Amino acid sequence: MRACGWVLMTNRVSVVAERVTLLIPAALRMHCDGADTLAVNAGTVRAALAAAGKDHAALVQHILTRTGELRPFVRVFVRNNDVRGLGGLDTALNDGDTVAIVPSVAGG
Amino acid sequence: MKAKDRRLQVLRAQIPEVTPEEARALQADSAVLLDVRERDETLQGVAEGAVVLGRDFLELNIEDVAPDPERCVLVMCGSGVRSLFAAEGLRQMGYRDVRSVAGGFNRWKDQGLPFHIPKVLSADSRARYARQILLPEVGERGQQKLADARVLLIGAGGLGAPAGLYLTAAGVGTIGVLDHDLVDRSNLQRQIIHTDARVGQPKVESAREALVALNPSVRVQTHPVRLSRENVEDVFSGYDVIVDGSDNFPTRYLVNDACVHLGLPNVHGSILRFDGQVSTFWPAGPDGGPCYRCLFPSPPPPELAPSCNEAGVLGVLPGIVGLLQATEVLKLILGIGHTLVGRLLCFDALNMHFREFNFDKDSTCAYCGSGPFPGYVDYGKFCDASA
Ligand SMILES: [Zn+2]
Repeated sequence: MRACGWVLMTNRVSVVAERVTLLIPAALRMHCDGADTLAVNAGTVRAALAAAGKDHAALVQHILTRTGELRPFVRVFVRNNDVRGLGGLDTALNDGDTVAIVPSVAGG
Repeated sequence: MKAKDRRLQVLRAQIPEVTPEEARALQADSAVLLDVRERDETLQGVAEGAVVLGRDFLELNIEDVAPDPERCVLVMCGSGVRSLFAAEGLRQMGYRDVRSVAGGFNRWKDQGLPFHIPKVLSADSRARYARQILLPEVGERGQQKLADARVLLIGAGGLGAPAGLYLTAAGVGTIGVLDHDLVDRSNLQRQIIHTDARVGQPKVESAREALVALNPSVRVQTHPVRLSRENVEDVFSGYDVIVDGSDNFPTRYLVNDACVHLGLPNVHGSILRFDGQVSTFWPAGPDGGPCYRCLFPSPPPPELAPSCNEAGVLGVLPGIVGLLQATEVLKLILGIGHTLVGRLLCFDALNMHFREFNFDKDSTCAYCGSGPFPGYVDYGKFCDASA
């Protein structure tokens, strides 16, 4: 059961809090005290972002819209794959996964 | 009778000879035609379909051309004499069906059979590019492809500078440089194609000077304009590969849309602070693949999109990213290796991490999907309006 990220509780299904690492790009580090990675416990991408948002609200505002959707100029990759091709923000995370945040940049 | 003639008599008795017409027919029937003349002789023309394999290294290289010793091998020289000696050498190596083309290339040509004048590199080019011609993946053929290639640099800035220099050094024949700006002293920390003495000059002229100084055989075409939906197709139509080293979102979306519409590969690089991104977008290419809009359907609103002017950039960063782009360009021209189609390479200079991410074509993408081209938009508005 644990391998797929879910566990059956007595009367409801709950997300297992896997230990995952968010990779923060240089363009967004100012919103999380300069940290290049954030360690959080979460079972999905959405939960991982919510967990990061507790201490770093501005960071998450750059990634998600007000309604909680992924912004079209930010990509999120889990295990090196675009979450749009997985389960979107509901993509399940495994213990030790990295969640990479990649914003569009235009500098040249 | 001289020893040479006695030997020839013996060889003629052993080696079957064919006329050029017969050779042509056998070629169509899967025989391999070898031209064993000296390099200088082949400059006058080479029979169609012939493999040029110098006599000196014939025995050493024949197996690359004809690994099967049962295959019929036709040997041609200038007049049909040296080919007899060469054929004898091949027979001793175990090739069973070796024939000599009587009269050689001279008779082939006289009889009106098809031949071509090979494009060959000059002695200067062979010396200049010796180290990469040595690479089997490049060779003289690849070097010729580079000479024939036309690459357009969007921007003679941080990315365009190193890409332009190395592509010119590598022998890309035509380099287009598009930039409407002048060289500013604050550019020189990273835009190494320009010099302190050229501050204030148009960037395209400064770039031309650097590129021609590095390799006088390069043809530099300057475009001192701001790219717009009105001029983009005119400018792009003379090029085979586009290198996007622009510094703003409106231009990047315009470059993407034009590349998709014209079927051109778009070698993308972008940088900010300590991070760089590289990918190759080429929906019309052999692997299909996504476009820039598939990756980022719309840009950040201006307040969330700091430029290098505002946010800063480490000087070496565009050097690294621009050369990754140049590497992609060389592979595209040479048709070797695996490009970054469908992959985004992210470089984090602070931690010295290269990470590679996979992304797919967006089935809802209006630009690279199967529907008609939606047309160019007002890119300034498009980028101001996004949220
Ligand atoms: Zn697309």
